[in-house]
Amino acid sequence: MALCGFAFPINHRSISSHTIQHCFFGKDLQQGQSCSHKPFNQLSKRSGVVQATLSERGEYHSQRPPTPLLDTINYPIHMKNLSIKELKQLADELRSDVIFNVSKTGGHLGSSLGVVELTVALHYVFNTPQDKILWDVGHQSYPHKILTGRRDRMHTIRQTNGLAGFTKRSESEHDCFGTGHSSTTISAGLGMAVGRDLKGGTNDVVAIIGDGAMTAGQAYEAMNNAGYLDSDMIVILNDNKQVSLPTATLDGPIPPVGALSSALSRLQSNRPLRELREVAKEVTKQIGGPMHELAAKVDEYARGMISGSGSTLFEELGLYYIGPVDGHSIDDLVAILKEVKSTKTTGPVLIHVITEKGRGYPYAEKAADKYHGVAKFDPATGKQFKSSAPTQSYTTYFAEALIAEAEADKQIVAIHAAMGGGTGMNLFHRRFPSRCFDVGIAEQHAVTFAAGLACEGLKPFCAIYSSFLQRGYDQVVHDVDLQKLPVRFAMDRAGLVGADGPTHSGSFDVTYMACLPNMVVMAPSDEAELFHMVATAAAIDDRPSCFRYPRGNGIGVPLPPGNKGVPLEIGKGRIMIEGERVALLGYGTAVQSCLTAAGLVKERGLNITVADARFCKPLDHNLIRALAKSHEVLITVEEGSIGGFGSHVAHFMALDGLLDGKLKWRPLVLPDRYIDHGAPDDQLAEAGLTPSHIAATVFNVLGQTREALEVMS
Amino acid sequence: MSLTINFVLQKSDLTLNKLARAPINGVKTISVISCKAKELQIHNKKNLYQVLSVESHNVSLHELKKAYRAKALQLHPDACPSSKKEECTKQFVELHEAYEVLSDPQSRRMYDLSLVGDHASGEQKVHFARTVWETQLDALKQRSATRPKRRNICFV
Repeated sequence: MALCGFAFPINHRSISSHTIQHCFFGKDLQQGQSCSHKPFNQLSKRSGVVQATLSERGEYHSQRPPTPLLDTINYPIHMKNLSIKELKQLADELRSDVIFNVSKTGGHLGSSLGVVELTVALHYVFNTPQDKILWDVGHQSYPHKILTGRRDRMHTIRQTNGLAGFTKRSESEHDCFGTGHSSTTISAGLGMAVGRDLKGGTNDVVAIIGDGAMTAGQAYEAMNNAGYLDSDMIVILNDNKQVSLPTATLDGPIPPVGALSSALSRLQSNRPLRELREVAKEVTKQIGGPMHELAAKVDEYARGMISGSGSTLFEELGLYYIGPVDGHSIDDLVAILKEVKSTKTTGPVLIHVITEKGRGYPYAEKAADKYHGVAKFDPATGKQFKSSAPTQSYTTYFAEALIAEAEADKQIVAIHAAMGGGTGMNLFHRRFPSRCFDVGIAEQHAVTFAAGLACEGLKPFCAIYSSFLQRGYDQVVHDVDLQKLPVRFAMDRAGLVGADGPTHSGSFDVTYMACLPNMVVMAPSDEAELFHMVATAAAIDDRPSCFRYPRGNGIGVPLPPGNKGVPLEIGKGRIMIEGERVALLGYGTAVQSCLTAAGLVKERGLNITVADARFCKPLDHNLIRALAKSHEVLITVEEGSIGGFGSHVAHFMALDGLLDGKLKWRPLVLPDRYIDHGAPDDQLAEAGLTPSHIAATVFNVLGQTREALEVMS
Repeated sequence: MSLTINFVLQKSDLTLNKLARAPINGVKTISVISCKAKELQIHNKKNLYQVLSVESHNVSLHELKKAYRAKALQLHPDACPSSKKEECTKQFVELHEAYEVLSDPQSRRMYDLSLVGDHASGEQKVHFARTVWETQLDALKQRSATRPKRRNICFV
């Protein structure tokens, strides 16, 4: 029910079957209500009486919690007539709604809880979609989505055909910029601000960025440019002292990585020095009107003299610093935002807001990872429903493999970019704390840092997600590959990644790695192969190498003893099934789909060959020649874009004269469009790379279209 | 500084009494708690009442004002000899801050409570002084008023 435009007399309202008594709300509301004289905690015993703020009561519902005020808000415009007290109630209800929704679907909880008050304040003061609010990374945008017309679809978040887990322009006009990777909002916001200025507009642009995202270079590039262009925009630095994911080792929280975090902490406590500066300003203000110019100069001069307070970092870049501000106080936030909004020609302003990740949900507040990303859980106990799988994830296997290699070889070190949990490097850190480097969200630096380590004879393993390595691509080309430095890249989340969607999927790594002259490119087809490839990479000491593995669990093959793999012969693949007429040449875990497809085809009377290429670079020429000469059809299968494994095979075959005869070659790659988030099986079906699709392709090429249709249904 | 802590019983002390009421061996053990808190206070930060040079916590607003003015005349940077200017300015700032906190009845009450360690939440409470960002906002408005008008570059 959308009731917009007028204030609600809350004490008279009853919505459906709930009768709400807001006893803590204000003196005027207590008149005539029987609960007004009873102590707070006795109310819950009364039947039929429901309260709005669950966080105070500490009860969490497995049924949808009552949210009387939130029920009336469909769009930010419905919030405009609320009082500050009502906004606080709205924040509480919003928080319980977020907890309830995420408990049913899984997703990013801690970050969303930390910005509930900030979201409410922003939507109260600003008017999207005319005003632009950009959420960096976007994983904290759940409250924003609830308030901007998507509350009814929150149960579909991160699922096939549902809401995206990050902001997405095509989803709503209130999402003005798509995010997923970090540190992009100041740049985009500046672009929007300058665009507005060129067009003569008057709307506001607000970019919210976290202290973790501030460790990335792009944030400084943007602030540098913003200071220079002096466009009116607001940057909100959401500081919760969480830089890495998680900002904790397996054994407990650690201080956030980076020197910037300590500078930001000092900002919070360094009041006397800043007071001095403010008082100096007061004193100069007293000088009076005609002397204002001089006073301003004195102020600038005084500012330069007083160093030590970190706010000068932002001010030197040209952003006006305001803060620190309590990010959970709606009064403060609304007051500041209103003031800044009403001031014209401010130039870029940075508001330093202090929040707590997971705030308002005790289990999240206490957890070391602050419940950053959770599976479905029970709100009352905080226990996540993690399905028990017979095998572990490729990430864990990689970490164990690397630990085994590092035990044997003292030169092995690991580098990751603020993703200790996601890359499994927290496991490595626990075993070898001095040999594991977390550089913050700085992939470019991570790659060149690894190059520097390699120069000194160490053996660096860069564990960076396939899609995040895109950030450091020039460094891979110029600093590593061109100089032929033996840096090993372990690219996790290769291929489609499920709920996170296209921002996180590693679709392009085969293409962009295999085209580099000196790079060895390989991919394991199962977890045992992964152990061997880690060993192979450790052994390759004269050139860079990389290997990719997907999100998900292993298939259940026996692991090498002691987790120590055996280096493979470089440029040698293997044949999995001997057959005839058609050969499926798979790369990476697509080989498993090929094996299943071979089973489907066998049911219809055709025994085909399945081979595992293992290496995309250097290719196993003999294997390809053998397959080409003894089969009618060669189908290359990979979970990557065009220009990858299949293209390299075709290129080789063309040069070798293998395509001059009767051989038919067909590639199976990811389609030329982005695959939306959803369940992994749905994504694979959407991409056309399921075993059924592969089997259908086999039949289609052979001309047996009837069987092709059969196997697809 | 010696441990001659101000044992004048104030309202804030009485609130603490309620919490630590159970006598052990017939002896009330209130003082332990308040002792510790005040000790900490002295080591970390100057007692604001001492900055203003008032004897007890029970001074009225009028007396606070008088004390503030007297001290301000002493410590104002303009009134100091130039050799001690920086130190004077520092002390003046402290004085100013102390007066800000104690002149507002709300913040004074909060401060009194904090002196006896009533904030036993266990977590580090970062105090976001409203004055800090209010001053910053004022300065922002001032600055914006005097800035050169935005060059209106429009698409032609």
